[in-house]
Amino acid sequence: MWCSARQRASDPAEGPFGPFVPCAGPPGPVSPIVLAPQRKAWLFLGLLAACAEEYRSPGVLTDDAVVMGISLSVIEDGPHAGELGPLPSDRPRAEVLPGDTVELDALVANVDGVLALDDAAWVLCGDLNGEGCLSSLRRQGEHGGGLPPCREDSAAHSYACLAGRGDRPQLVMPEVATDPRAPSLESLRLFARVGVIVARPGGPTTDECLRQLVLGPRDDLWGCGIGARDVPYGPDFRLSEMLGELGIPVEHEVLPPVVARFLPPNAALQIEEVLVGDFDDPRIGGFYSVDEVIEVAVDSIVVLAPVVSVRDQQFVLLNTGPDSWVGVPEFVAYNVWSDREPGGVPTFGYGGFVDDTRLHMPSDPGPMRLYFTVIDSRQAISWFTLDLQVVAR
Amino acid sequence: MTRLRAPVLGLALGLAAALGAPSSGHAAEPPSCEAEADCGRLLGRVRVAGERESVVGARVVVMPAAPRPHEPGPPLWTRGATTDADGRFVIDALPAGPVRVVVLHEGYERLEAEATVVSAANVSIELYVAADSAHEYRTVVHARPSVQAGEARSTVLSREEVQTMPGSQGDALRALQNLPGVARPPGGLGLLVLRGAPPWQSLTMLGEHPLPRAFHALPLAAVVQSESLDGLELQPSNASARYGPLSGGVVQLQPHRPRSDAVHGHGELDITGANASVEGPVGNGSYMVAARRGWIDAVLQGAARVTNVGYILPGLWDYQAWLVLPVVGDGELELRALGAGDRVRNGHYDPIEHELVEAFEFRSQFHRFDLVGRWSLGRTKLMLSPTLRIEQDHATVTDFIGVWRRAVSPGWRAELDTRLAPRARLVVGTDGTVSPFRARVHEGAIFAQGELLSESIRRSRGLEAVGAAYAIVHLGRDRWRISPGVRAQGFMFGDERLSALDPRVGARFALGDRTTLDLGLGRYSQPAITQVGLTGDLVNDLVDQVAPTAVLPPALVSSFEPRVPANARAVGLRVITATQASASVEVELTRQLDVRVGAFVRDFYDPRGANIPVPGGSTIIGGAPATGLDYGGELLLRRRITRRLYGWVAYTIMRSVREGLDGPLPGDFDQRHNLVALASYRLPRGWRIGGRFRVTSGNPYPPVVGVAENQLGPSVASDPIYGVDNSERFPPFHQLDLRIDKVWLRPQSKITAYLDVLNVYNRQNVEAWIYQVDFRGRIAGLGLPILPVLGVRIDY
Repeated sequence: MWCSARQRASDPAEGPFGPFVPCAGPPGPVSPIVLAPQRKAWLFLGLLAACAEEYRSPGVLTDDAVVMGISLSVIEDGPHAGELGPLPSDRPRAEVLPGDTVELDALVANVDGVLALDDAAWVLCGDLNGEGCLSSLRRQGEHGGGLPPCREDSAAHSYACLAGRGDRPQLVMPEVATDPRAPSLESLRLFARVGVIVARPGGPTTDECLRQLVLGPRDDLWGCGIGARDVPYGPDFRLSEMLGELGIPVEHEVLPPVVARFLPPNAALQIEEVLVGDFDDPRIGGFYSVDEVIEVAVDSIVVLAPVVSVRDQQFVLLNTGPDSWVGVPEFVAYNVWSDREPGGVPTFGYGGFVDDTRLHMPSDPGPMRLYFTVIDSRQAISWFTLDLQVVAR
Repeated sequence: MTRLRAPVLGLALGLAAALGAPSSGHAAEPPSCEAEADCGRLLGRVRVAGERESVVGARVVVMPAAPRPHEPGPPLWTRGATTDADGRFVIDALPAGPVRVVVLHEGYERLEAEATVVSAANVSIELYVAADSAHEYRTVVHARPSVQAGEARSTVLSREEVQTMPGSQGDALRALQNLPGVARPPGGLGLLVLRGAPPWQSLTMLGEHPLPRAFHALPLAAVVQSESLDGLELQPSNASARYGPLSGGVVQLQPHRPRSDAVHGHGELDITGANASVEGPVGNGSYMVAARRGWIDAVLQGAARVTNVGYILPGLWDYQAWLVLPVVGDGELELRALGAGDRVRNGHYDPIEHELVEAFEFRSQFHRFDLVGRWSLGRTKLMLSPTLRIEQDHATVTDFIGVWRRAVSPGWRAELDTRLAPRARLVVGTDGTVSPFRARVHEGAIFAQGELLSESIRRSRGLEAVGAAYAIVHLGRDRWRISPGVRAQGFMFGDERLSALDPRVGARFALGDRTTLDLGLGRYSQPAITQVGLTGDLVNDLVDQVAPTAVLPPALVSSFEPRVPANARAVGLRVITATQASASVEVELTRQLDVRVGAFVRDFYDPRGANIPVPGGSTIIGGAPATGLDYGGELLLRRRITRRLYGWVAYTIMRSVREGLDGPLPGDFDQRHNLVALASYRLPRGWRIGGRFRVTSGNPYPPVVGVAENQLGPSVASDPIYGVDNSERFPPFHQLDLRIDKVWLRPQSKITAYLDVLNVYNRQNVEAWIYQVDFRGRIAGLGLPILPVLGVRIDY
């Protein structure tokens, strides 16, 4: 069954970002755990016969390494980062500018737990034709013969570059490049994406994964955890100033710098507590530290609501018309993975600032680990894990 | 009263006498009528049972009702007549009383009837004779081959073959898929893949003009019913200079010539839909009207109400109207109107709102109006044919993506065929189409809290045009023929203009009384518009929305591409060219059994068929050339349709290679082996049984070799990482289909019931891979299971 527009409008699973999400489709804007196992009947193109088969719930981990989130934290301001608003010392800036020194981190896990990043390879890449980082890596291999280390001027010469190896590498973000003779948005070159490649124990090495991605041929990447995301460039007003300095006019409405400088740049929020409840019995539940092991009943529908502390709640200004701005709380969404297959329907995830995630617990007792990533509307990302103990009623 | 009977031995002796054959005794003249009032007259008409077509030249013999068949001996007297051009006869001076009437004609079963002659009166009878299907010289309606003797070999299917072929459900173009050089398309659907060329590179002609598309949208059926055709002809490569623009092969559909003897028609009904036709005389000419409505969408929509499962709902209709009129001299005027439409939806039934909630909809329709005039002026034949085509495509995915295109395209074909000398004939002609079009792409992609935040509407309009002039010289006569030709083409899109000059030659040589050698060599060109569809990208996006984890054969997806500019600023015209060569030897083993062995090669060049990415993320669309090479061999052992049996064994071995930025890769239709064995046998008492067995290599597809998590905004999608394009194949395909027909012949009509059982042994053929939502694991999307299709058809 596929969701219709009408369904989605009233569907509690509908996230505010969601353009089009199959009911049993990919994670999309909501939690990867969106549907319990069910049988699907396909009649594709009118002629393919029905092929009933058990589907694994999306978001349930297997042996494969899954890159759940990649974060960038500015640890040293670059030349373009002057006069930005203040941030608490334990909340590093999560939107970056060329020339900033950033630390890269990622949450990578499989069914056995979080994977070490000691051998991870980190890359910066373009977004070739909207095809993402992987096309840029391949093109770099074809034209450059390999992946050069990232330098200040890498964007001008490379489709992709090696940002670092190992756990939490540090990197100076390359500068933006454009054609000085005819500067334009079309000729602007920058690394739009950041990616990480991590080998699963027992699979091919990270170097082998990287070799296939860059030099090809790509014939077996099943043991490689691969993930990418947009580089969260910002704040917007500073980017506009930079474009202006390059001779590229900015056509869209920009918050006046005199106002914008008073607003702190974005930082990733930190979740330390969750509200856990029973969907069928509102009397059950309470606040738990994310470090605790939480007991839940088999076959229950558990409501999980990460608690966003007051100090992490930020406001953003939305442009509502010419010289018209309105301040709104920043939206937060969650993505959830699990190391066990949840129970039967109904099960759905639900992301949002004041919203929760509902999971149907398995029918068998035992431990269950959930991996949460938390992302705000300016793409700052953080994560935490939650250990559940599923017990008999 | 008239009654049909089986022939009997005793009567044969009498008839032999009546027909003047040597016999032991002679039948006498009937006793003379003493008075006119004592005698009567028998008049009547002899027609074909079920068809009502007049039987000309039949011998009608009248004799006294006694002796009965079990009483041996010659009849006491006989009197006879022969039917005229209308099948009518008159026999005078017959004694009043009961008589037997016997009708004899070569190719028909003998008919015996009874009548009563009344004194001083005219007695009128209608006699219906059944065609003798086992007769060695029974009439078979074949398509008129348009391919000249000096051109590369074509294959013709008759109307009867098309309508009774097992596994093809009477569809003309699906029947073609059983011939050598024609690939089994992905999903078993109705695409024409000729010698490795994608469907959009080949041309399907109806009469003098091309069809905008050969099949309905999904493609379950051809857009023209087989009842509206007299046959079809396949030239998988080396078509003559008459045809273009194309870089693949040609299928020529021959419009049915409406019957003028009486009003005829048919109605047919099965689980997939209904169709009907009527034809008959009008003035000095004849007409035919046919229409079809498929109702699989209604059937599946009913199923959706029960199962609450979303289905793809294909709805289709088409119509054909032919009118043939004689004009001054021996000229002839044909008027044709045809059209076809599709509506393909995906959605589910909402039990609360009691309606279908649609997620995806594709609507497409075209109408075509032809006028064809033919005249003979001494040794010269002239044909003039203007045409008008109206096309409209529309596709939407909920409220987020919508594409629309409309074109009104006048076109023409004119041809002059004159005999220059006893061994030389010249054909010159021109054809073309002018297509002003309008298109719109609507994207409303971003919603927040129920409100549309952004949408974009891109409108474009332009003019596409192709025009050509061609000349062909047919030289030679009996032992050898050679037909050199040239086709000069011009292409226009907006302000861009390109041209191509395509020399082509075909030859046929007799290597003995029963052996011929056919050769063909030529260049072929067709325009392509960068950023205007046919790449499959747009449809791929739509499919991704509907079935995001289904990996389909790429060729299948690209064949549905609506021709809408995705980016009006980046469109551009280019010319795709191909060089084709083929050779075949055909040997007539017996009078009804032929064997043909051939080879072919097609070198394909698209000057801007590949995109070039540049640093920083943008792409130069169509910035690099793409080339390809298709080559292979074919074998056809064919028993021609004559008496009871027809059938063939067709085998094709081929390679299809495409070379782009990623190096040489298998083409989308690199179907290396394709074997079809087919036979249909007519049994006594109106039964016919047939079977088709087919085994083919699996089509190539791009394999998923890994997964990457891709965070876009707040969501994380698991994106597949594809390996080398087309580097893996679906498993081999094989399937057996059986068909049984039973015909009940009535004087005025013919009733046919058929059972077409597809995939008799329920082979689970893999047609697609459907992946888990995160692409870590897959299951097979299977083709048709065993599927019996029961249908009833009435011809009158």
